Amino acid sequence: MQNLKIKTQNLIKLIEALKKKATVLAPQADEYKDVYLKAVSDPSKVILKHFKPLMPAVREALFGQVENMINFKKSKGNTKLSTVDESQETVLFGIPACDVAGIQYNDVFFGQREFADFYYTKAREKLTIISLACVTPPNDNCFCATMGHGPIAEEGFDLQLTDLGDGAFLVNVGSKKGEKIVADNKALFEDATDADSKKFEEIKKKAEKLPVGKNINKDKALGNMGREALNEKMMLEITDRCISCGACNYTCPTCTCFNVVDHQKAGEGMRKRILDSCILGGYFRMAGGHNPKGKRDERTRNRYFCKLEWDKEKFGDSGCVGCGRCLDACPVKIDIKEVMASLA
Amino acid sequence: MSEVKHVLTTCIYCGCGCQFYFKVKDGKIIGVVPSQNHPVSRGQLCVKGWNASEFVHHPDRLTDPLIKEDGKFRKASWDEALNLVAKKLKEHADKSGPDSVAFFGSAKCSNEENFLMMKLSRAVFKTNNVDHCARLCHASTVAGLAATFGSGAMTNSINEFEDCDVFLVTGSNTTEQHPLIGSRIINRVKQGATLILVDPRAVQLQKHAKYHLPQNSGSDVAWLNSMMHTIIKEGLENKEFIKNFTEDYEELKKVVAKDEYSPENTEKITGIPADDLKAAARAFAKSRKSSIIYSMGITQHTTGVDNVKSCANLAMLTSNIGRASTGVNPLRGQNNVQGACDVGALVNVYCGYQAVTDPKNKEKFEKAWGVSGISDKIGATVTLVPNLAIEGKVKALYIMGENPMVSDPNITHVEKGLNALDFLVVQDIFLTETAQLADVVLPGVSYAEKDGTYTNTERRVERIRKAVEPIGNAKQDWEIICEIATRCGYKMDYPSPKEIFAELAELAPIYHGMDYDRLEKDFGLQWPCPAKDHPGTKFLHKDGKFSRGKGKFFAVEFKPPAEMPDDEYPLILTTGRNYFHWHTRTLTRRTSALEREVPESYVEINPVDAKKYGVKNGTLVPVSTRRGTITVRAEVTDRPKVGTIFIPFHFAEGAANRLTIDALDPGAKIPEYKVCAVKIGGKQ
Repeated sequence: MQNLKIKTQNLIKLIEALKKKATVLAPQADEYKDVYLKAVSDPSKVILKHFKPLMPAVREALFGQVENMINFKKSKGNTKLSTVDESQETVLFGIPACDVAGIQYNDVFFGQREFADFYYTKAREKLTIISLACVTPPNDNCFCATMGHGPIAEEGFDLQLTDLGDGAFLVNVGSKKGEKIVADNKALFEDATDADSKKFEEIKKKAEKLPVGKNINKDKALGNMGREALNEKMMLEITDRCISCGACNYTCPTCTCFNVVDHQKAGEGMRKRILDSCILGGYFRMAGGHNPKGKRDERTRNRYFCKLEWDKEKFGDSGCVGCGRCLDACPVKIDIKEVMASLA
Repeated sequence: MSEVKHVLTTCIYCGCGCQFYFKVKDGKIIGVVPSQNHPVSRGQLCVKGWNASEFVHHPDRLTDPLIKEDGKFRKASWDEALNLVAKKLKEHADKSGPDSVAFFGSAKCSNEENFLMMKLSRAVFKTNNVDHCARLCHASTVAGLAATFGSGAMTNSINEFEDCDVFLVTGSNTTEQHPLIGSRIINRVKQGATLILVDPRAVQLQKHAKYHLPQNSGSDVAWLNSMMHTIIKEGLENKEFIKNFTEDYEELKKVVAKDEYSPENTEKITGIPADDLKAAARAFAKSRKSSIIYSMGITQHTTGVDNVKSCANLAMLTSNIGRASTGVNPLRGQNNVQGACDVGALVNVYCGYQAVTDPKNKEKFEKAWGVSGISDKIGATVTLVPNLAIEGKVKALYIMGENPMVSDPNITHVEKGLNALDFLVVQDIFLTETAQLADVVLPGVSYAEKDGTYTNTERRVERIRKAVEPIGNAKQDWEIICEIATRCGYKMDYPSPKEIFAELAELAPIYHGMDYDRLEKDFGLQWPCPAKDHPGTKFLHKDGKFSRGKGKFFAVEFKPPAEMPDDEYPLILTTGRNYFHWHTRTLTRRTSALEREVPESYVEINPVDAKKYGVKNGTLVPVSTRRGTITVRAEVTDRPKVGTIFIPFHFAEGAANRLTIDALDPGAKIPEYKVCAVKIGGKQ
């Protein structure tokens, strides 16, 4: 499909139109100038500049920190179970390419393997992704270009917007869902001219060069992963600083581990799943008390192996999308880029 | 369609005062996201912060008032429960006098709630028997720094640590107990700052310390005096500053210059090698940006006030006070322990540290509250109430949000005290170990269900905001207090916490310039903030102008702890906290990720001692003191120094406070949690 373009004022109208049928989650600032993805009530408040939210988009719409799974109630010896389905039509608007890549990872993990996760799949069916490409890195910790997941996405979105800088956005259509949005709101879009497409290519070329961490050779780094490669000294140095907050897991768009907890009282209750963290010792500890990863440095190493080696073995690419959130949210500035640089 | 709403609030755990957003959907909290612009959190949290919502909706939450009948609780209506509480409290006060009733506020509750608790105690019941758990953590700071500087609070601000050149951290496991402060220390050391750690345990900061001086627990005055001995001997003190801004220096000098405080001589008391101590003292004295950071390791001793005064002496001696990135920085443990002190939930002061013994203050508050006959006698502290109950002097006790059956020293004695009461009412959100002993239990609300303010360790007054509705029939804590006061014949009525705060600000000079509209705008204000156009105060005692006028040196002699090891009890027991739990574990045991990390009590024992006493890692071992015996799992580790064992106090099962001694600092009445004599063995 040919590239399209949308003027800023029409983009606001598009949000207005989408909002009638779905909850539109888009970056907006609150009174404390904190910006996060929240439900749009006034489309003119949406920030139409590329932006990396603190929490990855997948957490807002598909796989949250705390989710209800099953309600249960015991009566006369029978236990009545009811599956919770809280899915609803949602649009993720204005998310960066790293988040698009994160959702693609989760799609495979939760939806396209032997077992499809009920909760994720339900929510995913009702999700539309309108991403906004980063023309400059949102912050110094970004390295999506190194990891091959941005700053302008190739796939995984329904629509992708790129700011052409002249009051209009170039629109890439990435799916049938995206086509339908265009068809339903024809009047708001226009065809991109050759000059627009040329400008888009220039922006793309420039943007890909910008993100820091570009000097890391991803293929070489991943190729050098091995049990000896992540040397003990480096892991211990990281461990000495790590304060076990779990933020590198909680803010990672490709961390998929959760713990299942029952909250019950008098035969009635709720099964929940809670986002987990492999930095914590209890994550690995067995019922008898033995812990195969009892030391923090072992867990640190495990995390890097999970992201950089085992995900590649399982899914063909590293689990790290280069969003830099593990560094953004780390109180002691532990930097996965430094780990990769030591390998390449 | 249900939408997610974001509500900015302040973390319930430590005194860092991080702010985050609750994500709320359909009346339930589904996540926590740190504020990116908040000066402390800056888009980051510790593990407790990230997991600070699970307990809110836990099925164990109290949903109705409970009244005990024939040893069993039954549900009651609010009217019935409140009437009974008011009647009983009043009966005892009428019959046995105002001081037969006592009130515990709470460092977990808001400024507004603690303010009302002290108003209930003082205006309605005419007793100063109102206190809270600051008595157990920083009572010595409040007393010690008030005496030396004129203000008993952290002198500087959290972000100033990012410019410090030398840190002296003592008795603070900063990375575990104030994680976002700990992280600033680590980051600054990575940039080249020097860290001096004085702690009997090799806590995480030890990895970053240039000097780790593992002192014998309870020898703090000795090593502090010894540092000052070295500094004065080598002429490293700031004579100009001492002359211009301080008093009683000669008295100090007379004591610390004595030969018995030479590093070589104190080594025998402290266990700190003389050369290490001298090197650390030089590093501290030579830097213009040296900051002392301390916590319970300094305060929880029978010499707690002396320890604090000695820290103040060291800061003044080297003029590391009254400027950015210097100072004496007690890290306040609880989310609102600073605030609960500020608003006067203490036996000797009204809000804003105005002494109850001063007739002018009595007059001021009587006028403000429209009452007469407020007591000018200092009340009974948290730590003295059990004894007074046993003696029959305190008959009724109203506890809000505290759990002395786990947190207070020598629990067996506490239990005896609480059982000796005629009437105990406990207001809490879970049926705690203390609530189980109550005659009436009143269900308050969690921080997610209320509006109010907390004051963090850097004196920052911050809003907490209601995110969800109260669980069941639980009631706002401030409303409960108002209802009781009104039923006791004093009409207490506010439209909302905002108006309570306005009354507090009116009466407390340090909060005078604050109101909810101002607090709403930014991320709070740091006291002192005396006027509406005052921007708040980043660091105290600027340019040597101490709150009390001149900084006062106190010449302090070393005194040993109340109970030292002997043949029968050959080891030192020191207690403290663990990163993953919070105090009496009421909240964290109901938070799956935190409880899973550390599901049971344990004792840290050095391999040398483990070998000597036949303790194997991972096995259950009995541990005994003269107060009792508990059985806990052994963790053989080189964290504690040889001769010292460590047990966290969080656990009701395997409770460290069955063992601790209830010896008190004579001034601050803080217990000596950090030292008592202990042995491996004994029968439970």
